[in-house]
Amino acid sequence: MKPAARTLGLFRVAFYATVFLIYFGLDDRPWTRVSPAFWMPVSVFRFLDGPPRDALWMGVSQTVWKVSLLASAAGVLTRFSTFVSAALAVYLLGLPQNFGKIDHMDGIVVILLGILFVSRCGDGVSVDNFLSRKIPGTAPREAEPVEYRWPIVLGQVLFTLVFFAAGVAKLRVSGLAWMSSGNLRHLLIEHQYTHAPLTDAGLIAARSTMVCGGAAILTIVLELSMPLAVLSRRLRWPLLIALLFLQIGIALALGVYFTPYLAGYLLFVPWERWPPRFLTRSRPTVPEVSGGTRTARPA
Amino acid sequence: MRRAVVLGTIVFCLGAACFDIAAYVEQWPFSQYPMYAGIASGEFAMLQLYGIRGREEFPIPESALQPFNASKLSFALARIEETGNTGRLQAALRDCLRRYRGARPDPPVEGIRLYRIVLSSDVEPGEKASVVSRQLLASCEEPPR
Repeated sequence: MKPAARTLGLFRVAFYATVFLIYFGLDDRPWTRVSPAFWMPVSVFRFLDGPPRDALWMGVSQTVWKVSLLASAAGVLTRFSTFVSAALAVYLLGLPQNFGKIDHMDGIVVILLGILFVSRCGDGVSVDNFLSRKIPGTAPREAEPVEYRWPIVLGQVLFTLVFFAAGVAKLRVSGLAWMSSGNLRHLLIEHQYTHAPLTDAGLIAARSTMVCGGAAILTIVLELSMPLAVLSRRLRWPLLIALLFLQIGIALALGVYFTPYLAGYLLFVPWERWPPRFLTRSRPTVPEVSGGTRTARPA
Repeated sequence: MRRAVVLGTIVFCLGAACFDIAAYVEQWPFSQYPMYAGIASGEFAMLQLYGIRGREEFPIPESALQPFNASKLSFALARIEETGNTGRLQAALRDCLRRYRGARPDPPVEGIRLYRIVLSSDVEPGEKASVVSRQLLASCEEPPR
């Protein structure tokens, strides 16, 4: 197995398993009982006549989707299972976006599932690969390393573009005034009424003009800098760690949870170096001495 | 063929992502990610549903209107209200009333009202935001069976 195939395979295992855990509790069946008065279709849902009404079909769909995520993680019938994962993700994660407000949490997950379907992510670290090595003549033709690298690089670019876009949108709509301390202060207070965050971190931050102003400037600078995480290995980890802290801060202060984005961070894990050396380093062996007793080490 | 599929995927994904950013449009799952792009001024408006029980009005908790959360419901009702289609707004309120009755049957509610509430966030953190205005947008009253 080529190292590049193994790297993409390891990412596939981690990504699908993480998506499965994040969406394990997903249940779209209640949307089938919401009045069509709320139906405001987006994207491909415009082709539907109205909201789906069959709760049983919805229940079956989401069970099949979760099973397909596990099958994709294990690499069982990878081409088929990744197709089902991507197609049903469009339907199941897209459905709630058609009732008046688009949440910006799930879009990147759907895109990454689509990219992995097109990729050859099942060539390494998969049940398919294991079986093909056991059965002569069924092994897939090995591809060039670039075949296994483009999905991760494209995913990284798209993941960082999410934050770059958010930074551009703020400057486009509000200009530099977005970075004023007053803006963030009002936003933090507003969210106590509209989102009910679990902690008082937002209110504590809102008390300090310096904290609000500094956090607003840092947010814009970080968001606009995120594409550098793809281009520069040196800046990658500082930027990603800062982004993670920003998202944790938003969750605590504003009550907005970016949980699905955790799957995106996996794109930046150096899977080619997995497992890390500290997990695989073998213990130093103690030389056996005749008679089963140890002799003192010579000085 | 394989190369064309891969190149097509790359071009489509990057093209859609960059187009949404440049044109400031949203084509889910791609987006321009406009969340919190506006300036939060000293006042903010939110739509709030109130239940009616006798002469009493009480705010409807979003937990009783699943699968909506507070943010999604407020957005959705605001968008319906903006269309000016009163029949559609009535249907939406009837749906909220039905779901509230399903989630909290006792004590029974007689109806539901939708208000636009403007609050002032120009307060000290921790203080209660003061109500600037409260406007009744629509109501739906159906006696419990």
